[in-house]
Amino acid sequence: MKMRQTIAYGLRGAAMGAALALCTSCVEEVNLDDLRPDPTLVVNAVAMAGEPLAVDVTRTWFYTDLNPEVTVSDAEVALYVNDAFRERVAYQPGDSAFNVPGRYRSAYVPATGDRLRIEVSHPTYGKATAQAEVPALAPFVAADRRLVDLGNYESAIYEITLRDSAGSEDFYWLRMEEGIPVYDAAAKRYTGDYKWMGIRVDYATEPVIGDSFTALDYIFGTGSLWMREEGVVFSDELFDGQAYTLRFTNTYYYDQFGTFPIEVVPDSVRFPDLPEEEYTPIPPRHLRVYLYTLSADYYYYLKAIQDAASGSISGTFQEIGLAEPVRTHSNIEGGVGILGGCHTGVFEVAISSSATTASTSRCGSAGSVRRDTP
Amino acid sequence: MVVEMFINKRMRAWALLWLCWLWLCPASGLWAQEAGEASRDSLLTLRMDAAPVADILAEIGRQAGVTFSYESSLLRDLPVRDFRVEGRSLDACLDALLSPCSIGYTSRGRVVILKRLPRRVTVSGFVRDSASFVPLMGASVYEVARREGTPTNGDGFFSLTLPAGDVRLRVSYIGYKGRSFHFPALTRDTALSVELAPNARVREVVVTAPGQEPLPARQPLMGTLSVSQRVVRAIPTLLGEPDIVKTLQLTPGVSAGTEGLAGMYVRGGDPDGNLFLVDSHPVYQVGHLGGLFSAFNPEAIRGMDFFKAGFPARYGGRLSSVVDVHTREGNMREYHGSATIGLLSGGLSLEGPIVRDRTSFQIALRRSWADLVSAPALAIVNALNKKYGDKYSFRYAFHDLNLKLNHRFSERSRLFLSLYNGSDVLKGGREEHNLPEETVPYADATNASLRWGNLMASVGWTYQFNSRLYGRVSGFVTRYHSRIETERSYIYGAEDSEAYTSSRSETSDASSILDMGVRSQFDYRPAAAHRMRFGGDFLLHRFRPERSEARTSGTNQGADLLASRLYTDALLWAREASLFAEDDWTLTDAFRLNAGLRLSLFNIERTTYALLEPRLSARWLLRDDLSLKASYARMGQYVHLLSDSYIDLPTDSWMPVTSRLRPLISDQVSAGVYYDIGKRYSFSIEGYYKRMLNLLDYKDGYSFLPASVSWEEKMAVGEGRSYGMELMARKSAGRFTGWLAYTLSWSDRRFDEIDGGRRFPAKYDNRHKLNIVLTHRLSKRVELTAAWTYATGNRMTLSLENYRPAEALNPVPNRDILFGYYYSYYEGFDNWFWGSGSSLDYYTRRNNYRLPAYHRLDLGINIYRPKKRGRMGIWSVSIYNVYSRMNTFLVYKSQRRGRIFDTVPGQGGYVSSSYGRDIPVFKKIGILPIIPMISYTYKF
Repeated sequence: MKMRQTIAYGLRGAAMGAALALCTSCVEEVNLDDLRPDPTLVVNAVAMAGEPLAVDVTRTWFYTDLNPEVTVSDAEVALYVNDAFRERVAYQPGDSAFNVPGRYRSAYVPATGDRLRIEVSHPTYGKATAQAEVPALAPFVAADRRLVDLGNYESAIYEITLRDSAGSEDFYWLRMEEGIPVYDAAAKRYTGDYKWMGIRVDYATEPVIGDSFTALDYIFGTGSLWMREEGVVFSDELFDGQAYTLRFTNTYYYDQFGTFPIEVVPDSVRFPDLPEEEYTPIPPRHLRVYLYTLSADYYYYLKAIQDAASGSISGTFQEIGLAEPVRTHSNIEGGVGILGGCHTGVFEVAISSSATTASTSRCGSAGSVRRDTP
Repeated sequence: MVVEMFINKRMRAWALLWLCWLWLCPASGLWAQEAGEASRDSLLTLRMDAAPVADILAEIGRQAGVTFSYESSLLRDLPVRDFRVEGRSLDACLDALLSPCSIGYTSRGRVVILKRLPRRVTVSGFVRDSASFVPLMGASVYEVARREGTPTNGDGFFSLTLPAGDVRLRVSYIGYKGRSFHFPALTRDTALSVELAPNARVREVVVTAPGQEPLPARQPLMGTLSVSQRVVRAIPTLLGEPDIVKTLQLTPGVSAGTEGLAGMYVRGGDPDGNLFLVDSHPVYQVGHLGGLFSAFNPEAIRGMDFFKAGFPARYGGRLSSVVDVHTREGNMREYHGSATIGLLSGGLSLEGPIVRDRTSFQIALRRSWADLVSAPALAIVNALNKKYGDKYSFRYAFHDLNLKLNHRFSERSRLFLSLYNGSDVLKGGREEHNLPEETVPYADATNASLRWGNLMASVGWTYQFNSRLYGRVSGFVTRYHSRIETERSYIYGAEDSEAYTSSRSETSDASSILDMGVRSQFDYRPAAAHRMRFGGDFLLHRFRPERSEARTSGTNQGADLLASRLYTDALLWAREASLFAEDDWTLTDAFRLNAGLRLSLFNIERTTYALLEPRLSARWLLRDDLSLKASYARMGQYVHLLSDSYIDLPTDSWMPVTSRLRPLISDQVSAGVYYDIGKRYSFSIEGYYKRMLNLLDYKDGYSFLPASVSWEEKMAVGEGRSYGMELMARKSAGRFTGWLAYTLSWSDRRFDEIDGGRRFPAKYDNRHKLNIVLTHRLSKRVELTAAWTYATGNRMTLSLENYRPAEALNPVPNRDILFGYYYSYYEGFDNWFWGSGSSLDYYTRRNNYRLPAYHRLDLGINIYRPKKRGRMGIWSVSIYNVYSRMNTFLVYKSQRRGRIFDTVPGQGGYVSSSYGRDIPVFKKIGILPIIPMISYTYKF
């Protein structure tokens, strides 16, 4: 009996070991250094109405290189506006954004309708050119947020209305933030400022955006635009020339701040320890809508990135070699990257349904609209 | 005086004679000339009843003024006959009188010489299985002395024209006992119905060429194979399901494509370049579950013919290959059937007579099990989730149904009906709803379903007009469709409440292709040296490229919401017609030619395309066992498959050529040397070059085009080429059989709107391919098969570099957000610390990387267990990838966790700390390990 048990345990262990060995032998590292190519010039720039043009010039790097220095600070960058030479754009070290130690910044400030062309050349990496047009401001109409009490949890529904112009292909980028009113405990008053938090919704709940997913995605539960603080891009294909309300749902809405005021301290917020009668009524929260218009090339560029990040089944097929990978759109001739056109529009409304008392309300209406446009 | 008188008399006589001769000879010549002219020009009139031929000739001679010269025995045995002509010339009269008697004539002035002509007779009929009365296709009917023969056609019909006299025929077919027939003095056309008994020994596993000539070197065609059902069942495959496509993947010139799937890339062609026929009628979708299973139920088929070069003119419509699957004919004498149980699917088949020796049926059904197992499992999951208000649904299933009816009106006339239906269904969804204790109604549901499949139905008639002409006419309908539907619904609140909100979003995508047509084919054998085939088709195509509908409706606090989109490519009607003629011509015993011409017409959108497709194959027999062959074929294709993946998906669509997108064309030349050793071993080496024009593929960046853009706008037009060499060594008889096949090939493509218009290698450009297939009959009951495959890796588009993305659209200062990840610039580092997802993949050339080489070994064993009354149980065990080599399926970018050590000054000295970071690496993955499968088939 003991012998049988021993044998049984041994067989079981051997089977598990074989299975483990099998699984781990599925994946192995492979050295492709002998395929290392010459680097290619990378040019990234977004021409925004009212902002000087900032051009990043870098180069590609071999994937396995660890922390390579890819910034190209000695390129020649020429800017043309409406087919006329405008200026030679200079490199400004220390003009850092989140991922570059310096960039080429123009003195010229693009305006709506400008056609920009940049030419970048470098003795090692060659010459690259691109062009783009700056679109007009987005036609925002209204925005609101409602909370839906489902007993155990709440859902939040965000509704953004815009009026599209007919007869032209229009492209948009949308992002939302919710502003929490800031309280000054010392002065015992609300400062009028807001702490802005990115809104996380499942953008695919809106057919205009979720339409890019297929039935295979619904069946296998793939394809999601959830948790995208950076927002989404979409086109007017489904509502060309109409006034349309985009509707996004956050099925499981969690209000971490509840009905307490918040106090902003350096790099953080805190809840002041106050009696309720001191901090109520709390002013309504604000909803800030970033609704940008994009040039076609920039839209295709962002759409490719968005689709790749969505986890759709077609993207999965590409990742596992069952479909040809989709290249991120580039309009840089002689290199890679993007020269995009963009018109920023920031619209802010008060969410009147954000209650001043402890209970949430199911009725709401859009409050006043404050438009921030350059 | 006397002398003078004698001389004078003699001289006078001679002079008189001489004068007479002078007068008569020219005159006789004149007279003969006049008579000769009169014999050619005279119009004769005879009315003779029941007269001997000799008397008729005499009368003709009298009227025409000619004399007949012939051997006395020539007319001896000829029967009396009626002979009536009016105002006919001499030649016409002689032709009418003498031709039926196999007597020829030549004229020499007034003399007509009669001579016996060599007599030819035609032996024709059918070869059938003696047990089932099923016709045997490709059986050999061979005249032993003259070494002339012919194969039976798809209906078992043969016709062989030979010189009259002593005729010895040998009829044989693999797996059957041969039969001999001796006709010592055959003088007239003869009908012969042959029934062959199956060989009691276990049948050999053989791959041959259509026509079943005794030896491959003698076979007239090249680039062709016939595969029997037994071969298909013997080859071990993934998941244990016998598969004709996976069998063909083991032959030279056929690339398998993605591992585990039933892909077929023939001599550098695309998957839509293969014409699949079921009983000569096309089907469009030939795989289930992405190609994991083929659509052909092996229990329903009796064999197939495969052509990859030297295409006969009767085939057309695709560039790369033709797979003509022949389904089983029903047994006309006995009832038989089988039941098969495997780990993934099961099947039933039944055949038998409706009226013995007159009408038969055959039906086979195969269905997958997966949904029968998943349904109860899901029910359990849903029961557990009920308290959370969640419910899931999922179902996948496929089935194949084959039905065939045969009715023999007579030995000459037969009617048949054939039906094939195969389909897949895939459904899934999720629903959330309010719990019973929640007072506010709420429901949020998402459901989707996909259905796709084939339906093919045909009815036809075959008729033997005479001993030399056989015909087949059929009408058919074939339809492929796919439909994808999604539905999302949301309800909150009571309908009469102010807060009531509802929305419903539905999408539907459908595409289909429907063909209706008639097809005719005639088989004419005027002489032993010629076998002619001719015929024509007419097809009416109806394409629905895409019908895509989206609708959103609902209510939000009393306000109605509505958005809709309907994109529909209009129904496309097209007409296709073709005519073909081919002749298999034996010029000499050494030289044989198959020459044909196919004319095809395609009309769509007020545009008509016409293609002339010449076909030529030649065989030169250097010795009995050594031959040279060469062929040329032009093929045209009017439909193509739109697919944005490398597997079969229901989202794929068959589309026609249009006024913008011209027909696809290929030109292929092949040449080879063939050598046989005895009757068991054969060797061949073939070289080929193929050029393909007007190929279609999705252009770069097509996925960003709006859905409203026509599908034509998304296509790029280009060309491809493929060339290489194939070696084949084969043992086709004995207990131990099999083949070794090696292919060396190149294949590439070029499109203006793909990869910058540069030429790039095809995805399945496998430089080397080696297949070794061995079958060994251990005993009557046990059969082992081993198949080893080696191939140079497939190509893929691999990004080797990365580059920085553009700055995110984030106007808020000091907020570092891009794609949900945060970035920081750490001072003190020379470079940047990249968070994951912080760069973009940079792609250069298409198919720039070749995967590592691929090889695997499959083993299979079939154990036959005979039971009483002819029943049989068959255990089939197969092991896929016996030594579990994890062949690289994909190379991709990944990371490895590395350790980096830092020293930090601390009290009492330095303190070392370590932390992990992701080190970028390339990795490869294999997906299919060793997979055993087992199935049981019960035959009765």
